[in-house]
This record gives sequence, structure tokens and C-alpha cells, in this order.
Amino acid sequence: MKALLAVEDVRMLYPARPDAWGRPRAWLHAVDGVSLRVDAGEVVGLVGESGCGKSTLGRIVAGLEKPTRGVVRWDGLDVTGRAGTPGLQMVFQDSSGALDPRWTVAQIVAEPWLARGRRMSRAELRQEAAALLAEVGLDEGALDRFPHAFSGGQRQRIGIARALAARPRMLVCDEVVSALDVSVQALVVNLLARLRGERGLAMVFISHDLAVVEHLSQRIVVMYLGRLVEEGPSRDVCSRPLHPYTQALLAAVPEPGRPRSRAPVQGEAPSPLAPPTGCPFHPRCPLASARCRAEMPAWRESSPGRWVACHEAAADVSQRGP
Amino acid sequence: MGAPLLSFEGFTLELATASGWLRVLDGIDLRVGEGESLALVGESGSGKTLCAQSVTRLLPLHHARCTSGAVRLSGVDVFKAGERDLRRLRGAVAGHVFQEPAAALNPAMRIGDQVLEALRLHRPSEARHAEAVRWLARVGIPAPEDRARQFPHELSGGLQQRATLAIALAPRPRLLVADEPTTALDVTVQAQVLELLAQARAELGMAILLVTHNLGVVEGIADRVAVLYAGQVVEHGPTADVLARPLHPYTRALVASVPRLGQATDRLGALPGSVPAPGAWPTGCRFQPRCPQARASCGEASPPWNAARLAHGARCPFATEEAAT
Ligand SMILES: Nc1ncnc2c1ncn2[C@@H]1O[C@H](COP(=O)(O)OP(=O)(O)OP(=O)(O)O)[C@@H](O)[C@H]1O
Ligand SMILES: Nc1ncnc2c1ncn2[C@@H]1O[C@H](COP(=O)(O)OP(=O)(O)OP(=O)(O)O)[C@@H](O)[C@H]1O
Ligand SMILES: [Mg+2]
Ligand SMILES: [Mg+2]
Repeated sequence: MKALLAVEDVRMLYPARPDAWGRPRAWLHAVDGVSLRVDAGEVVGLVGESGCGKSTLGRIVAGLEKPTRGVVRWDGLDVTGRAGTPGLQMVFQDSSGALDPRWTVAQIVAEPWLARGRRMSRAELRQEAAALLAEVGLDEGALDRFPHAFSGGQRQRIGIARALAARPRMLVCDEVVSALDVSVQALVVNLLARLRGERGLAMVFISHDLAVVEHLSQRIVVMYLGRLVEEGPSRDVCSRPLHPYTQALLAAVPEPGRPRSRAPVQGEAPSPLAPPTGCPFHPRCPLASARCRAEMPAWRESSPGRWVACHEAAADVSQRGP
Repeated sequence: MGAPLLSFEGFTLELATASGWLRVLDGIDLRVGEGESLALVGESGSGKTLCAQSVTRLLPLHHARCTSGAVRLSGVDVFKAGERDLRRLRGAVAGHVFQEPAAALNPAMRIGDQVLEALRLHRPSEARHAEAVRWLARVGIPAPEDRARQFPHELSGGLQQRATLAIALAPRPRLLVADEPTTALDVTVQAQVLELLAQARAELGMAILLVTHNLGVVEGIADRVAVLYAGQVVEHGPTADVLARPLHPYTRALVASVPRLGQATDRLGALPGSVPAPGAWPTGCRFQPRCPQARASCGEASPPWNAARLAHGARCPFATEEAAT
């Protein structure tokens, strides 16, 4: 089957450490050699530490940024660095920057309809916009207000409503529920799950919250320092994580009544400007060997559908709990 | 006992809207002493950020007014104080971490310079630059030396959030007002930041007003929790007690709806409905339309404060009966 979205060996370098003339003396590897495919109607969860390149990859997928290397295909067509692919919408991590402050919420939500030349009366427009807002837990009173007159979580939901108004085939969601309390989060997650079922809405769901990602996605992809370190069906990745980093992430999920493990990943987070030699995780890895320090582990399929980049992740993982 | 560092005393806030003044906070009563920490929790739209912004009156007076009660910070009635007094309070007495870091950072200024500005050090020198870098390192930013020279747009969401924390902590405020300071952070970095806050409390005697929707974060960092609903405090008590034996049906629903790994994955436990918007608050108990235990009388009069347990009360007359069952 042809993938709806295919990201092939994408790399994104940003200039860093400018000299007196503004010329870069180093390059920051935000995303390095990432490949990903998402089928129609499939939800792929993208998790990883802060700064590991999730938003950058999301922006590349949405065509908002042109990668240094690699290709993004939509329905088989090369759309690398091209924004505005019909059927693809992105909801941003930073909700305050994503909404035009001079527009009312009704205008913001209706924009995709008007842009597509849909003819609708004012009453129709308001009714449909209100119905969409209700789905994300906002009442009709929101229609005539401006973005600044909302709470952070409300603005985030306005962004989601706007993206859904375009009736996309795929949504790139960047930390869309992290600002929301559990109850509203559940409302939004249940809505997205329903749209996945009813409309076959595909998603790249970026989040650092593994509990939510596990709930919503069929497949989970784990990133570390710009690279993929693990991929597999959600249930498997959460119940039998292969990579030591994924294991640490899972061990650190906070829950009321369960004391949080205080320093889940040992050692200092590495700098993407000076990535470690060999496996990028080795300085913090409890299993690191001499080989890990010298040699970058290959991206390999450890069992059908389960991918991992680790020298030490043995075929038999049952001996090593998180 | 002297006056607390921060107190909300029957504080009622109204905001200017297109259709006139709108009441958004209603009779908030809360105290934070020196070195104490209080968490404000509640659903999206309950009024947490507005409470936090009132501490140093970040809302302009033509847009916000206090119609009864007061907010007092270090003895100053902030809604009566002049801009000059407030500027003195901001930063040195109370540092802010904002919910939306991208909007709070100056896009045209390097991160390191913004830390120095918070320290009121306007002529950067080598030594001062090193001080800025130290603060960035302390909040868990890798390669702080490089980050200090970058602009906000070059940072990821989580790095921006930690940068605003460094800016707030650098002047060593007596009170840190942190509005959702860990939302953009994964669990590993989150643990590190919470550790840092606990440390700042222990070493600097810093008080904390922590705004969060994440009940998992509250434990271990806050002495007390106040639950906000539709502009009112509906429950208030010691953290462990509120989480283990919540009084208000709303708090019970909040505690019950925390998603857990490996949970049956058909639907997450959503509390039906959402927080009513200011201007649409129901009469009587504001939670009653969503309350699974509502009785006819709940819609009649606003429920009084029910001091059910030692230092732990709720705005629900049936709190103890229901909690017992
Ligand atoms: N425009 C840019 N210029 C320079 N560096 C950038 C730029 N955008 C991102 N970066 C860097 O790329 C790396 C990855 O950033 P990205 O925003 O993708 O991380 P993330 O995984 O989304 O993190 P978070 O969870 O904190 O949002 C970071 O080190 C960041 O500082
Ligand atoms: N300028 C304004 N004009 C009118 N209503 C406002 C204004 N600012 C905030 N509100 C409303 O006041 C209520 C409380 O907002 P606040 O930002 O304090 O919520 P919050 O508890 O911080 O929510 P979140 O968790 O989503 O950030 C919301 O319903 C919001 O829509
Ligand atoms: Mg991001
Ligand atoms: Mg808020």
C-alpha cells in the first residue's frame, strides 16, 4: 500500500555559534536521518525528550520548513518544503503565536471554509463554527471574542477547532493536549480518536506524555537527539520497551499515589551541537559498552514491526524490566 | 503571626469586555507565607492564570479592576499601588514563569541578555555573562554557553520554558509564581525542574505559587492545594489530604480522571461538560449542573464554605457525607 505520508532520510541542520561576521562555526543537528511513514487513517505517536527535534520534524512534515536533506512525500508526490498541502493541517505547540490576534474566533475557525470558496450565510457559518467549538468544550459565547480574551488551554483548543474545520486527511498535532487538564484533555483525545474512527483521520501526534500517546496512537516512534531510537505498535512499546531510553521514559511517568522516580535518566542531557560519539544515548545509558561509545548502532528490525537502534537491546528483553 | 507574604482576601476581579465589566474571579481567599508552597489546580478556564497574574497586577488597570477584597504582596495592596511600586515588586519580590513562554520572551534579545536584564545588570561583562550561563545550566538547559547567545525562536518549546524559569529565578525572588512551568517538558526534564524548585525553596527560603492542571506534579512540591472552579476556590487543604481524601465532588472527579498507563483504552474518563464561562455562572453551586451528586437545593443558594476537616474544607455542604460513602 502507498503511504499517505512518507518522510525519507530527513536531516535538518541549523547554523550555530556565529563568528564576528555572522557565519556559523558549528551546525546544530536538530533532525538527523529520520524516516517515517504514516498510512491513511493511521495515528503515529512521536515522543522524546525536550529539544530532541519533534517540533522540527513536525514542521518539516507540514512543509513549513525545508530540510537540509531528505524528501517528504504526500500521496506519493514530493512536497518537501511546500506548505499548504490540501488535506494536511498542523496544530502548533505555541498556541499564542498561532492565532491572528486581530481576528475573532468565528473568523479564525471559518477561515478554511471561506478560503475554499464555500458559500454559506452568516447564520450558517456561526452555527457550524459553534458546533465545532462545542466539540472542543467551548461555548457559543466564544465566537465574537478575540484570542487574547481566552485562557491558555482555551486558545489551544481554538487552534484545534480551526485545523479540524479544514476537514484534513491528516493532522500534525504538536503537544496539543499538554496544556490541558485531564478532563478537557480527555474530551479532546476522545474527539480525535472518534475522528480517526469515523473519518479515517490520520495523525502525527507529538507529545511527551506517554499515557496519552499510548491511548491515541497505533504506532509509537521514539526520538533521541534528532534520531529515531525505537518504533513499534503502541501497546508493545509501552509494555515491552526495547531501548534503555524508552524504558527510562516509561519508568518516569508521574501518577498520583505513585512516587515519581526522581532522576529517571541519569547524567546530563547532551548538546545537539556536540553529539556524543557512537550511540547518542551512551553517556546516560546503564548498559553502555565500549562498542556503544565507538559505533553508532544501526536501525534494525528486532522482530516484525519492532525497530530499535541499540547494540545492547537483546532479542530477549524479558530479563531486563524498566 | 505577621502578615503573610502573599494574600488574596476576598479578592474579586472584573475585566473589561466589549459588553462591559465581566466578573472573572469571585471572592478568592488564599494565603502563602514565606517559604511556603501552594498549588492552584483546576480545569482549563477556571481562573488559575488570572489569579497568578493578579499577584503583581500584570493586568493593566484600564482592563482589570478589583471590585472587592484585595491582593496583598509583601504588605502592598497591588490593585491600589502605583506602577513604580509594582515594578519594584516584580522580579525581586515575585518572579513569574508564564504559561506561554514564547509570548513572554523578548524575541529580539538573546537569552543570556534576558537573564542579565532580570538581574538588572545592563552592562554585561564577562563575569556577568558567566552568571547568566550558570542560571541556564541550573534549570537543566544543555550547552548553556551556546543557548545564552541564541534568540528565543532558536529554542524548542521546552527550552524556552526553562529559559523563562531561569529569568524568574535569577533575581532570587521571595515568591515564585509559576504558571504551568512544566507543561512543555517531558517527564525526565520535568523531574529535574521540580527538583530545582524544591531546592530553591530549601536553600533560598523561596515561596511558590504553582499553577498546574497536572495533579501528578502537585505531590512532592506543594504543601497545600487550592482547587479553583468557575472563579471560586472550591476546595483547599494539605496536599496529601486533598489528593487522598478529596471533599468536593469536583475534586473527586479530577483525581479520578488522571490517565494511567496501560489503562483500558476505549475512552479516557472525561468529566462531562466543561467549566462555565464567566458571565454564564449558574446560580447556587457553580458545579451543580455537572455534579453527579447534585440535589435540588444545590441550585438555590451559593454553598457556604464547609470547614469539614482540620485545615481542609470545601464549598459543598455535603462534602463529608459523600466522601464517606
Ligand atoms: N530556527 C531554529 N534555529 C536554530 N535552532 C533551532 C531552530 N529550531 C529548532 N532549533 C533547535 O533544534 C533542536 C530541536 O528543536 P525542536 O523544537 O524540534 O525540539 P522538540 O523536540 O520539539 O522539543 P520540545 O519538546 O522542547 O518542544 C533544539 O536544540 C532547538 O534549539
Ligand atoms: N480578557 C478577558 N476577557 C474576557 N474573559 C477572559 C479574559 N481573560 C480570560 N477570560 C476568561 O476567564 C476565564 C479564566 O481564565 P484563566 O486564563 O485564568 O484560565 P486558566 O484556569 O488559567 O485556564 P488554562 O488552564 O486553560 O490556562 C476563562 O474562561 C477565560 O475565557
Ligand atoms: Mg516542540
Ligand atoms: Mg492558564
